[in-house]
Amino acid sequence: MIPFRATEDGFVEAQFENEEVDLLATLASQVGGLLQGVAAPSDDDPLPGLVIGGSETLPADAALARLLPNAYAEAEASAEFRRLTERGLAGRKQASAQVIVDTASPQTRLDASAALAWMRSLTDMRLVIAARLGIEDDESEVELTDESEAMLAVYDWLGGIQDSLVRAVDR
Amino acid sequence: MAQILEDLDRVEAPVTDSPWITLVWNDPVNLMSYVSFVFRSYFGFSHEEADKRMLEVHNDGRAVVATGPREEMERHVEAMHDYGLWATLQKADE
Repeated sequence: MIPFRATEDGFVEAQFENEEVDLLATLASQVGGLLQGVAAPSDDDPLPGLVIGGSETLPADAALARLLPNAYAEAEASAEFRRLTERGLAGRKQASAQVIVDTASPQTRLDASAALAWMRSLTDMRLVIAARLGIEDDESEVELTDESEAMLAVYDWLGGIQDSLVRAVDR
Repeated sequence: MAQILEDLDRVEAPVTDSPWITLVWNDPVNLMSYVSFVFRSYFGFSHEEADKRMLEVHNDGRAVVATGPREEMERHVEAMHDYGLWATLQKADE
C-alpha cells in the first residue's frame, strides 16, 4: 500500500496490492451485509437516505449496535428516534460501503464525495472488528489467538489507511 | 440598577426554551485525527476548537459539541452516527 495523498487537481490517491483491494472489498461487503437486515430496501423507497423506518431496540448484535447506537440514554425517546431513523442510517452506511467496493483498485483515485464515503465506511469496518474483538474502551485487552491477531492486524491496517485519507483530505 | 435586576428576575423562561445538548462520547476505535476532522467539517469549528473538543472527548470521556433546540440536536446526533461517532442528545440541565 502507498498511503493516500492529495493531488494537484483536488483528488486523493492511494495504491493497493491486488490482495489489499480484495480485502477492502470483502470487508466493505461484509459491513453492507451486516446492515442488510436493518436497511432492507424495498421497491417503494424513493432514494437511499430518505427512508423512514426502523426498529425500537438496540440491535442484539454488538457490532450492529455500535453501527446503529442509541440516540438517547432514556429508552423511550431512543426507541422513538430509532423507529424513524434506523433504516435510513443503515442504508446510508450500506451506500458508503458500496462506494469502497466500486472504487477500490490498485490505483485508487477519489473525489471529495467518495473520500467521505471511504472515511465513513473505514470507520464502520473498524467499529465492527473492534466489537468482534471485544474492544470496548481504551483499557480493553484483546485475548490473542491466531484469529484475533489477524483481525487486529487488519484493524490497524485500516486505521493506517483512514489516517492517511483524513490527512490527505484535510491538507 | 437594583430595580432593573429585580424586574429581570421576575421574567420566567418558558419551559419549552430549555435547551438540549449534543454529546460525543469517547470510544477506543475512532482516530483522533478523524474526530477532529469531523468536528471541523461538520460543525465548522476552527482547528483549535475542534482539537480542544476532541481532547475533551478523549480525556474526559465526553464533550458537548452543540447546544440548541431538540430537533436540531437530533439532526446532529444522526449526522455523528453517519460518521461512526458515538453521540447522544439530552436536556442541558439533565
